[in-house]
Amino acid sequence: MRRHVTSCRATPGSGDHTLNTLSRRALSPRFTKHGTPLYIAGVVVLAVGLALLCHRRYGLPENWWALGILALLGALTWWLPATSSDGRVHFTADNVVILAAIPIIGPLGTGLVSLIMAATTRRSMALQRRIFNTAAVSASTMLSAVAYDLAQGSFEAASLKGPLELMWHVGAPIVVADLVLLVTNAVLVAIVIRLSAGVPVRLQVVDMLTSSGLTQFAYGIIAFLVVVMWLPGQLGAVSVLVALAPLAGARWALLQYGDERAARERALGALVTAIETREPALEGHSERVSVLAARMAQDLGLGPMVVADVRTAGLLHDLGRVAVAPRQRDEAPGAFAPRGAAMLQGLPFLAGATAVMEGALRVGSGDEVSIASEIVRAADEYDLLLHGDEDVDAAAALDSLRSTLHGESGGRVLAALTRAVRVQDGYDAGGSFAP
Amino acid sequence: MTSKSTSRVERLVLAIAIAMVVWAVVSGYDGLLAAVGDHSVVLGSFLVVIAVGELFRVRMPSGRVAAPVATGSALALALLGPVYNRADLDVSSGVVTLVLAAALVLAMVIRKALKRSTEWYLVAARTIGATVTAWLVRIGSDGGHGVWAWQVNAERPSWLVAVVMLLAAAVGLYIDLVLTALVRARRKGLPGAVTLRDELGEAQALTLGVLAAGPLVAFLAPVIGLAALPLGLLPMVLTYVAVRRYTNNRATYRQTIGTLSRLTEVAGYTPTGHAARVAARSVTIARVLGMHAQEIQDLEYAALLHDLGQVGLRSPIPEGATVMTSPDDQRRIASEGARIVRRTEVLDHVADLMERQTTPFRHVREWGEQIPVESRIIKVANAFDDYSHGRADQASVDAALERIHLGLGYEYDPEVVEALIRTVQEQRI
Repeated sequence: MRRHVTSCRATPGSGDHTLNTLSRRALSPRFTKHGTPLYIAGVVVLAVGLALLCHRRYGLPENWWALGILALLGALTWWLPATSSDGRVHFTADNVVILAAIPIIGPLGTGLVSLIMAATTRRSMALQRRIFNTAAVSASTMLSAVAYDLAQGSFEAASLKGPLELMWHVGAPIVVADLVLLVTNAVLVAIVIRLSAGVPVRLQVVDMLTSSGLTQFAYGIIAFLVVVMWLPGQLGAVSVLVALAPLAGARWALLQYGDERAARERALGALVTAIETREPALEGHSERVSVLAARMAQDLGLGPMVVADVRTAGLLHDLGRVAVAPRQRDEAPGAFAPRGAAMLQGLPFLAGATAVMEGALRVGSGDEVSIASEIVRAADEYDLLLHGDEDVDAAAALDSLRSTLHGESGGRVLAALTRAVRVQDGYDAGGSFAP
Repeated sequence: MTSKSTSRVERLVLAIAIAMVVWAVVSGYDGLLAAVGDHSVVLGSFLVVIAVGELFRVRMPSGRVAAPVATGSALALALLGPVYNRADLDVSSGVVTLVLAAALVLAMVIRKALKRSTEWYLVAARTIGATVTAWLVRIGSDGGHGVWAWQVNAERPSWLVAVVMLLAAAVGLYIDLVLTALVRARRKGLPGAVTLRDELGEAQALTLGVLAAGPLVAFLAPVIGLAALPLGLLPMVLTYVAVRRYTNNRATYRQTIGTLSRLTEVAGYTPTGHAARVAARSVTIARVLGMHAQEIQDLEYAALLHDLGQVGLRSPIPEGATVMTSPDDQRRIASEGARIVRRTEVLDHVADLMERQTTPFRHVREWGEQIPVESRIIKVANAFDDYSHGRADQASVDAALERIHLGLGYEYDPEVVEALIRTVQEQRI
């Protein structure tokens, strides 16, 4: 559920330059201006409609005390620091509370719990975003509660006996509800990101499902344990604590992982500084190549992992310049370049980026190289032309590259470069390069 | 001294565990046979799960070895009472000890066959801890069943049973942690109190998670039977996966710093392996001085990167030995390295340590200047490697120590030099 908040890095005003600039290309300004508020209004209407439906079909919650406790625990999970599992996705145990609430207090009660949780989040955010989050969370949870019912889920779990009955009428339906919650949530968020930032819905949904699907499934299992202890086990609200406490270690490790992963990425920045220390003329070059290459990769629809590799390869492509003493380099110019990729061979998390760097060195040699390598090489050459000693503008730099990029993939790379430059610098290439 | 103490503490832990097993056999031989007959499926399931869990250990950055699934299931066995559709697991603490010991011995045999480390003191400490938990919940009233019987007679509120179970599990788990920390401290020649504080402080959440796993399984079992074992241990499996991810990531972070440190080596500025040797020596000295894990980690990074500033030099200095350059050049190189590292924005403290590494000790003595002990350690370790040219033969080491003694109290911190000498002597032993 926390995904609603953090995914909003791509929601209105979140400041992801790449996504926002791409949106100018993808959607008309009028649509971007009015589409998002209209969509948010639609999600609010959906949430209200589902609440009325749940009230009509399932009635009001019978156990208001349990609802209060679950809302309180859910709100507390929102208040905990976010857990970062991979540097992009954040979530906490609120999924467990929501899924466990379905058999305990019914669909409408679950919707109310999620509404309280989302409305009381401590994060400061724009009113529009808060309204969207609250409505989207409530709508997703009520839909998942209806799915629980349709999957033969029981709202009288206290009377069930034995593992088979419980698994069949609580466990399996909770897993179904979990799945519906995950997909609904992903789709609702992906649409708002599409409207506000232009990222294709399919890409966003696949990214969200693949990055947290397994963890979400595990939360569903833990919700089942809470229900088993709460209702048939008669442990009551304490069951939430007993079930969640063993996750403390996992949560701690994920927090550490997120922090150290970020630190590791930052440490790569020191390599760039080392390059610029040796070659002051290249100051800013690595960063520009990295941004431009990543934008081109996104434009060509490459997957998130490849885009990340391209971004890193663009950042470190000149590492070979620093991996040799100046005197040696003067003696054998050009021989140092492969040393950069060779230095990074021992870092498993850079394996993809290293391959891209190696390929970039072989572009034009007749060897077959990946399109990712071609992108980095093109971005590198473009930036060197644009910021070199000679006075070259974007149009001239692109014209110059046209003679070096051949074949179908070369054409695609050049087209992507043209579009990326147009978005980045407002340069009008006049549509002279067909995609 | 260290090695003698090591074997003494370790032998004591092993002896206590063996004594508990022997006592369990002697005191309850008949009960054991009856328990195995009555609860063969339940006990056998726990035996398998504990043994498998012990195969999946994870080494924390502090050096602590955790086996969350094995520890969680051991505590669950100690607490378990009613099991759906089966007889209540009404067995003595001795039976728990024997099942646990059998599972752990089985795991050790498999580990040995798989050529993995065995470290018997770990399983001994685990046996002692879980036995204490089993014993704690069985002492007292209720016909000798103690708190354990509260699960069966349902007179006490469930929350109270949960709290008592958590407390009993906590006592057993902390006994396990303290014993393993003491053995590890003796093995590594580290101060026991520092090791214990690092281990307990490093992963309190992990400890909380493990100790809650036992009560979770015990509360699920009366409702869903033996399915409680895989389902209740799922959080521990997730914990194991998350901790593995974290420790692997920590390792790759360390590798990234290592790659950065090798820039000067591949470029021919410093001798091969110099940064790694200085870092290893610095860490050893820090341990002798009783520094904490976090301080040692920052020190290691700073030591790895201490020569990074040389990448800005137009031509290498002879053998990359900064100790041979003028104080101004030393400061310039250190500042350049610190400037590069500060760009990461996450290693500011490391950059500070790098920047201060060139300051002579007399600034502390004469002017009371505050120089971090980490920086003083790097200065000594770097000088030792420069003067010994990275060689470990006695003549080179003695020559290096002699050169360092010439600057004792003036250039180098005597306390750090003394620790250096201890590390050299221990290396010889």
